[in-house]
Amino acid sequence: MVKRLFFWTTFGLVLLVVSVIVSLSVGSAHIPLHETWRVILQQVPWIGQMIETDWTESTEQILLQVRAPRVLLALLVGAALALAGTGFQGVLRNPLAEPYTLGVASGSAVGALVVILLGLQYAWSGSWTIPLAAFLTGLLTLWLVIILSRQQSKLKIETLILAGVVIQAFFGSVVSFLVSISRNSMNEMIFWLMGSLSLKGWSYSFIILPYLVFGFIILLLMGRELNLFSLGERQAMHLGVNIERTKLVVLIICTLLTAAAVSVAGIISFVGLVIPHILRLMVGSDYRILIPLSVIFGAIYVLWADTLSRMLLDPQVIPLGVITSILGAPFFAWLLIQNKRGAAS
Amino acid sequence: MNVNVQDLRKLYGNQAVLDGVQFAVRPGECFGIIGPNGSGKSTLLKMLSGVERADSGHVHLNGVDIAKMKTKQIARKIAVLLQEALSPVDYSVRDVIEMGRYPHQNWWGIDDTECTSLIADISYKLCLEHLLHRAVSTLSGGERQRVAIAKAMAQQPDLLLLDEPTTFLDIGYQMQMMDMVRNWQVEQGITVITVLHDLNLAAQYCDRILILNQGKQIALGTPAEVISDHLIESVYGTRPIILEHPVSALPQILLQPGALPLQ
Repeated sequence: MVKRLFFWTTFGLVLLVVSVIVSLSVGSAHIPLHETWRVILQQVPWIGQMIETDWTESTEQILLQVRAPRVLLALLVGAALALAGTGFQGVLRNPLAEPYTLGVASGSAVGALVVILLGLQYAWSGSWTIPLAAFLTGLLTLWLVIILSRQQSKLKIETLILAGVVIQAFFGSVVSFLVSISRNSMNEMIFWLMGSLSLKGWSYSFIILPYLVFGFIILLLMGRELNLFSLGERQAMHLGVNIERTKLVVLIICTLLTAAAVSVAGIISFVGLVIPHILRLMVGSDYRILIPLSVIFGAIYVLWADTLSRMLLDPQVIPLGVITSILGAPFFAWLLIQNKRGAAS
Repeated sequence: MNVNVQDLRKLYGNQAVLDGVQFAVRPGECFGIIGPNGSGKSTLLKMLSGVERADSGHVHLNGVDIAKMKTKQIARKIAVLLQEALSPVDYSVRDVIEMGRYPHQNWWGIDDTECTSLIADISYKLCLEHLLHRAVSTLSGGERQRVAIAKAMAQQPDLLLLDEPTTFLDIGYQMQMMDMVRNWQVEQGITVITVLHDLNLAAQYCDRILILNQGKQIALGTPAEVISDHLIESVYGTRPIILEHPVSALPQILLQPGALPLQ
């Protein structure tokens, strides 16, 4: 287990660093790779002093002020969504579970769209208004789902998923309604709904970072419980897992992660559903490995999706949620086929 | 382990599924629970394992009320084998056996004893060594049931609860399963409480048998005392022929077609 974890983590981290540097260097103003990594290295304490500045001021500006915040946000959003997806699939024991299963996405969307519709984007708390509204309505959704599905202080998985679907459908139609009645801001709404990381400064990353760190640590400690869960709830209970507490804690943490990601980046689909499955096909179902890897590979995935979204039709930007699905579905299909062949031979 | 059940009562709505059940199991004993469908056997087992709470009455394990124990504390004392064995997960056999160590691990997953030799020992005993790296989903039903026993052994319980463990097994695996449990019981001195459908297995393997019907305790005693034709008929509604086993001299039943008293 430790060996596998070490191998894949190292591989993932190397891939992550390479991806970050390549993603930073590409864009409407191309910056050569050898300059990019040296600009980055210069920011690192100790090593930084050994690197001489031989690039222009504007290069550094573009890299550090424009692209770096966006790259960081892509990494954090991807990590949060993939981590939440892994948690949801573990505790709901359902392959179709994903961060949006319990309706959190549509719930958050309602909050964000109401703010956009009323033109209150910059009211109260400046650029934080939309994330704040989205986050709060996201949490409200989880609370509703839990109230709906709680029976005698127990959460039944089937009821939970059903309640999530109902809430999702309800808020989904509210979202459609809001979009249909808006005249001026329809574009902004649709763009938000399909996910975007453009024009967000460093501050957005700080919204999501604490949730990611906190959620990651807790879920990492619950890896063994999630493994036992996959034997079935009753088996897990007989092995000493407090199943009601585990379910509640994992659901709340994953919802917080999802709400934080959605509130800053809109609804980026597919990441939370497919990254955990891809990892399962690659490394097996051990959650002690899946949890750290989902953070790394979720980050890489959204980073590449975002890089493509700003590169493919440059200067036009393709919504991020569109890219994540277009990219993810064929890759997933390919992995499934590979796996079938492996099992058949 | 001493298991003491006092005046146990469980209601689902207004219906009592268990009423006035009272018995004590001695350390090292194999205690069988039999009864027709819906007699409350499984409910009783759930209460013995702390899954369900009693509406009145108590279950004491070595003098401690099970209602006051935490899930993890219970799992250090009691292992449970369910009839559906293991779901076809893609964990390796080794990983699944190691899951039995969970109640003995702390927050960080560090075990209180060295488990490598323990797992080697168990897999030797149950002939699982050549399967240790196979995924559980690729095993046959009988092999999977053996992994489930191995996982329970890794748990190092004082009490083993079995819920109709032989239901999905053919007669060869049924005997293998019951023999493995008996060997374990004799070697480690653990206490076994098992719900069984098959009265002949119950008579052969259990020291004492409890018969339940409609939530009430009908009889409790050695196989020779409780496996009698009128008792079986009054509980199951069919009259069997009772013979003495030619080797063990224990009572065995033969079923008679058409012997259903239709009143």
